[in-house]
Amino acid sequence: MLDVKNICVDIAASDGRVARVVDGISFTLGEGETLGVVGESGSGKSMLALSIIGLLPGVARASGEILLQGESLLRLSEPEMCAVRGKRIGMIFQEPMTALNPAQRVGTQIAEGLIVHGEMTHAAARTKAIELLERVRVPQASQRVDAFPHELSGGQRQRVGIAIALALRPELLIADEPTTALDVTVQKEILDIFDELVAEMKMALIFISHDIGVIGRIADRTLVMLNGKQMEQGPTEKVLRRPEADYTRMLLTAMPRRARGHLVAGSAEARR
Amino acid sequence: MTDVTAPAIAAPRGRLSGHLRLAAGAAITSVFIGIALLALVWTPENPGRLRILQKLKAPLESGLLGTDHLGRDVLSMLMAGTINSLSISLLSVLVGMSIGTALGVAAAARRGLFESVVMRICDAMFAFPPILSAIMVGALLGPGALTAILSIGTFMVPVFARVTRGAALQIWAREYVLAARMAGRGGISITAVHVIPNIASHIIIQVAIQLALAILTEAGLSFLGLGVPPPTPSWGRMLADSQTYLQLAPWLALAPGLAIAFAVLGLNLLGDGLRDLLDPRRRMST
Amino acid sequence: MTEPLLEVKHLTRDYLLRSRDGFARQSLRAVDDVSLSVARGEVLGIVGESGCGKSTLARIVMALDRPTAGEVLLEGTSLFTLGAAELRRRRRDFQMVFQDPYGSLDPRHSVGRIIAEPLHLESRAATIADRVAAALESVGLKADDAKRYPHEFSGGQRQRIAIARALMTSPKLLVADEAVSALDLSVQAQILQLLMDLKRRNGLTMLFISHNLGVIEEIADRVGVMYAGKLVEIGATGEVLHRPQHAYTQRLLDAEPTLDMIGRRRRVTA
Repeated sequence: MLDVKNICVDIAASDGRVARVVDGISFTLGEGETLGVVGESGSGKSMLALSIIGLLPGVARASGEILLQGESLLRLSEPEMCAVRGKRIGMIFQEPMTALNPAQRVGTQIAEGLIVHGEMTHAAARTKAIELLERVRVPQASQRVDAFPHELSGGQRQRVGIAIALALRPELLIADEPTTALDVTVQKEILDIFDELVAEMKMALIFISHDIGVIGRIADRTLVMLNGKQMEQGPTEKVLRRPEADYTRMLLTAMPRRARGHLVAGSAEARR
Repeated sequence: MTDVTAPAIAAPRGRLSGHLRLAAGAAITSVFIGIALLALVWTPENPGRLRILQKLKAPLESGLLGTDHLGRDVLSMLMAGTINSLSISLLSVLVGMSIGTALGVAAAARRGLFESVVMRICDAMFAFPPILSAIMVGALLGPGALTAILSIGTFMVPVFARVTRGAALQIWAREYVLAARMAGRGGISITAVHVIPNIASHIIIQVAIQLALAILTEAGLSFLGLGVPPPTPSWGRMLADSQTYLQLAPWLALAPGLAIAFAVLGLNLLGDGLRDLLDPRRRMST
Repeated sequence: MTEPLLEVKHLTRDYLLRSRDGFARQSLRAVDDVSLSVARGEVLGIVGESGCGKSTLARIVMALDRPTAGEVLLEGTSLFTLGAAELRRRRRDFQMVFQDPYGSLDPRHSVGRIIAEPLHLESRAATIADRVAAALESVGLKADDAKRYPHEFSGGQRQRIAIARALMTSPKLLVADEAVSALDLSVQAQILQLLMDLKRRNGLTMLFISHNLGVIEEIADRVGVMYAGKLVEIGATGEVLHRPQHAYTQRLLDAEPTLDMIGRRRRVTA
């Protein structure tokens, strides 16, 4: 369904030098599949996500091929890309507070996409918004729909972010560190919601995180990135239990023991 | 496998015009500073010299910019007026900056009742526009440079106090200030060592902006007769004097008017350019 | 019978909040009757989620904030009964490392100046330079890094600088407030290792605050669990993390994603 071929992203720095922040990443993703992209800061994983949805900053340029159901996304003009965003590709960001407009009620923000893309009336969109809030397990949805972002907790705001991304039933959902800013108990609930939604709506999900534990929990396949390059890619079970790349092994040994669980990944040198 | 490239990289537009603003502002301001410095030692004619027989001559007929109703050379008056405008605005801004910054950083450091009182006093000072205070101070001290500096400076104090207090409060919330407290530093020490160096850019930018405002205000005061009295040349007074002869000798109004406009423009561009230069990069390291 | 290095007794911290309409004052209890003690040479971990009061607790222990009730005893001396000058002197004995490697170093000061800050009351310049160099080397950096500025270093290196600064006065107690939470995984492991080494070498006692159970397990001898301002459970790390007494502790343990969960996905209840 999604075919990414040799994506490279170059960024022009103020002194004219060009830095390659994503270097030759390729992968395919089918319906209902989840790809986990794991890497440390500066690995280029966020830039990869932005290149797929076409929201790269002005100083960045992507090259390669991105095919969504056979259609090339990089060839699209901005207005054409706008039609794709929201409707066919949804995105969820890391910071629930900054991704929402503090001056608008959450219901309005969820309905925005519905009205712009789906040509729904305001009343119909509002009903749908309440439905979506219930889907993401926000309690008292019919009241919460009129709340402002600052009246909600971090976990609730992130759920609103998910509801916004799902409103138009996109084929592909990209989540960039959606649970990093959340408490671990809230994170668990959000990950459960992701599971439900992917199963129900048969969406493809790209889940980006620096937390290997989360990736292990949610991804069918895993892509490990370092400095823009792919270090390893494959079924999650294999990449995390029998890694081939040294970098992956290094990341796994760096994990606290309890997160590594009862397995010993790759070469298990004693750390102390 | 065809390689597709997305639309070309957009050059960062903001940055280019930012540098242009800074360069233009710096250039214009330097020109004025240069003229003022030059006027200290030389002007084409003595600006105070009255030559009634040469009165109201057009530009290039007598002198580069003509003469006024008393025969004085307009160019020389303009140049000498530059000294006046720049020095008064500079001194008022210095007064405002030093007192205002001191109050602002003290308020941020002490908080509580002290801060509330200081801010309310600043609010009260804001209530007196420079024209009004000039009239009041002028009644006491008579018109002159001191009156102008005090009136304008008084208005600047709350501006700097507000800006520095806001910026300082942000610095106080930083963890390196906590670390300094852990090291046993007191409020004054932290203000001097950590706060002021980190808000310096805000102060510099405000200085440029307030200089522009001060020049404009000084011209306004002089126009109303509340600035430096004759024979010291002043742009504002030149404007006032030129009103009677507007149809006969329009250059008498154009010259000081354009001088004021360009001086203010130059300083505003400088302030904007500095803000663009200092703020976005600061955001990364501050 | 050696007394504990740090004792916290019935610590409470209330904050007064203005309610939405600006009139009514509400009281928020950030720390609720917390008591604990840390033995010399021990690492006590405090774990909890956001809003549980662990950072407030840390600040009160560091005497950066005053409690509403209760006391903090360092080597038997109650910190809040000391006069200002005496407290300043005592600050040599306890230091803190903060979470944000980007906010805890003054961007306008050189690294050497930053590290030497705890010594600002001492004036012998010559020995200070030597001590700064020694401190840099003890955290794995180079002596001439002292001339450079924070923005030239990575997050992990900046934490090393922050640790070097904290150890300049040879404190007896080091409080680490989420000191590794903002770091990449590989760097996290290095910094934890560094802290363990320094603890051994300098005989430090540590209070280690984190929201991450895995990190706590690596470094803490005992651990306390905080929730809504209260200390709900405290005990030896192994005990608390494998045989928790309190329901909340169990919830925390269940929520943390581990690699055992691979392949257990999509057991979705409709």
